[in-house]
Amino acid sequence: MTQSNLKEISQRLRYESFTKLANELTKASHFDALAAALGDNLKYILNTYFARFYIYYEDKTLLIEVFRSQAGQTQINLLPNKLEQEVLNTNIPDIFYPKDFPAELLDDPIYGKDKLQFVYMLPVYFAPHHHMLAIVGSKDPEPFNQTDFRFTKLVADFLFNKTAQLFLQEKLSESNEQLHEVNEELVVFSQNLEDLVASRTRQLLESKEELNTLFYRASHDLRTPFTSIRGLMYIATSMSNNGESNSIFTKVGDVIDKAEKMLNKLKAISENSDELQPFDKAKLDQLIRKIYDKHRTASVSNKLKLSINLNAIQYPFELADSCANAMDCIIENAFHFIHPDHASPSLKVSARQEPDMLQLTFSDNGNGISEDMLDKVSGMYIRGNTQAQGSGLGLYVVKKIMDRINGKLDIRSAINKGTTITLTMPTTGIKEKLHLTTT
Amino acid sequence: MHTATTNRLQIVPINEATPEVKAIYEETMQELGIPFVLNWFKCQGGNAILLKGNWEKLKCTMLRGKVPFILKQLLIYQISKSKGCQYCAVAHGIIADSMSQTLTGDSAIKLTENIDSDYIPASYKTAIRIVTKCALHPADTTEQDFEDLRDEGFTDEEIQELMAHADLTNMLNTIADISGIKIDNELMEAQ
Repeated sequence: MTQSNLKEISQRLRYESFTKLANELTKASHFDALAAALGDNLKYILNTYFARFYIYYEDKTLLIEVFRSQAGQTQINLLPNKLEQEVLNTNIPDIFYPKDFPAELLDDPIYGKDKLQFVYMLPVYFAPHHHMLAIVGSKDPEPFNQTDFRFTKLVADFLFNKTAQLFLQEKLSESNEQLHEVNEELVVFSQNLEDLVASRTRQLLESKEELNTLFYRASHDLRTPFTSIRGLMYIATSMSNNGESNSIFTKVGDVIDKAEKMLNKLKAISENSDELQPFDKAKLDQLIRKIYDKHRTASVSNKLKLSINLNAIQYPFELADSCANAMDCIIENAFHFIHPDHASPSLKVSARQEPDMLQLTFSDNGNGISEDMLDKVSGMYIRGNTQAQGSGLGLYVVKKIMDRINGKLDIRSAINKGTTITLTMPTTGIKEKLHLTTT
Repeated sequence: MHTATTNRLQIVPINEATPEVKAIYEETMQELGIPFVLNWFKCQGGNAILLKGNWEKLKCTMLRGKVPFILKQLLIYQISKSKGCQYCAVAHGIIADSMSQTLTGDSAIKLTENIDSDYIPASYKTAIRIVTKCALHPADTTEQDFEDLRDEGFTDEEIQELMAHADLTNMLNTIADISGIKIDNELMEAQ
C-alpha cells in the first residue's frame, strides 16, 4: 500500500463528507444552520479540535465557532484575539503552536486548552470588504498536510459564498420590510385622504345646497317687490298725462322686465325640485309657440319667423319642467342675435324621438358665434357675441338644466350664418335621474 | 466455493419463504442495495417475528442516523475481527473495502487494512478505537471514552449512535456464530 493510494482514499473519504457538508450548507436558510452543518461534518473532513470562521461581508461580520460537539454563530462580540488579528493584518496563512501564543492567550477558554497541539490560520481575500479568516485548531500532533490545507480552503470558500448569500437575503428581507412599512403608511395616508375628501365633499354639497336654497328663495322674494313696482308704475302711468313721465315709466318697465328675466334664469339655475309633465307632439308645439310669442312681444324686432317640424314625434313622453326654461333661453337668444342685415331671420325647430329620449334642434340664421367662443358660451356670464344684449346666463342655464336631468347640450355655429343648438333630453327614468342630481 | 448450509438453524431461501418473511427479505435487499438475501437473514427466515425485530434493529442502527455509513462498516468490521466472527468480519470488510474500491477505482486498496493511517481523519480512528473497546469489554467503558469522543466533535446523539454499534455488532456476531452460517457466495464473488 503506497502513501499516495492512502492519501487518495483519505481524500475521497473527506470528499464524501465535504459533499454532505456542502449540501447542508446549500439548504441552510439561517446562520445557525451553517454552524450546525459545520458541527456535524467538519470532524470527518479535518482533525478539528476547534474551528473558527470570521466572515467579513460589506459592513457585516459573522463568527462561526465549532468546539468539540458545540457549534454556534454570532454577529456580536466579534473582536479577533491578538494572534488572529495579526494574521488578518498580514493576510498570510500560518501555523502557530502553543509556545508561540501571546501570554494572554494561555488563559483563553479555547487557546488555553492543554490538548491543543497547533492552530492553522487561513486568511482568504475575495474582494474589498469581502474576506474571511478560517482557523482550525488540532489536538493531533501530526501537522497539517497539503490535503488538509486544500480542504480548509474548500470549506472556507463554500462557507463564505453561502454566508454572503444569507447576508444578501437578510438585506433584501430588510428592504422588503421597509417597503411593507412604507406601503402600510401609504394605505393609512390614502385612507385619511379619502376620509378628508369625503368630508370636504360633504361640506361642499351642504354649502351648495344652502346656496341653492338661498338663491331660490331670494329670486322668489325679489319677485314680489318687482310686481309691486310694476303695479305702482301702472297706477302712476294711468294717473299721469305727462308724456315725458310716461316715457320714463315705460323705460322703468323695460328695466323691470329685464330684472324679472334675470330672476327667472336664477330661479332655473337654483331649481331643486323638478316636476315631470306629460307631453305629446301637440302640447310641445304649443309650448314652443307660447315661448316664441312671449319673446316676440317683448323683442324690438318681431321679424323672426318660427317654423316647427315635430313630425318625428310618434308617441307621448314626459319632460321635466325645467326643459321649458331651457327652450325659453334658446328662443330668447334667437331673438337677441337676429342678424341686422338678414332680410328674413328664421328659427327652425325639429325633433327626433327614441324610446328613452327626445332630441330638439333649434336652428337660426342669426349672428352666430365665433369658433373660439363655442366651448365657452355655456359658461357663467359669458356673452358669445359682441352685440349680445342678454345677461350672459342663457346658455349657462341651458347647460345646468341638461346636466341636472342627464341630458346633453350641443352647440354648432358659424359667424354671420347662424347657430344650431341641440338638446337631448331623457324621457324615461328621469325621476331617478332628477332624484340623483338634486339630492 | 462456500455454501450457505447449516444443520443448526433452518436456512430459508426467498423462493421458499412465507409472504411475511419474503417481504422482509425484499426490504433488506432494497435497503442494503444488494441483489440477494444475506445468509444472516436467511438463517432467521424460520421465525418471522425474530427476523422482523432483528432487521428493524439493524436498519435503525446501521442504515439510519447521522454517522457516515462507511464509518459504521469499519466499526462492525473491526469489532467482528477482534471478536473472531468470521462471517461478519468478512461481510462488512467486503462492504467497507468495496466502498473504498468504488472511491479509488483500485481494488488493491483496502480501507480495513489502513484505518490507523495518518491520512484517515482522527474522528474515524478515535471512534473505531473506543467503540471496539466498548463492544469487547463493555464494563471497561469510562467517562473518558465519552470525553474523547466529544473532543473529536461528536455530539451526545452521535456518540449514542456510535455506541449502538457495539451492541448491534455483538448481536450480529452472536447470531452468525450460533447459526454457523458461511459467507455468502455472492459476497465472495464480489470480493
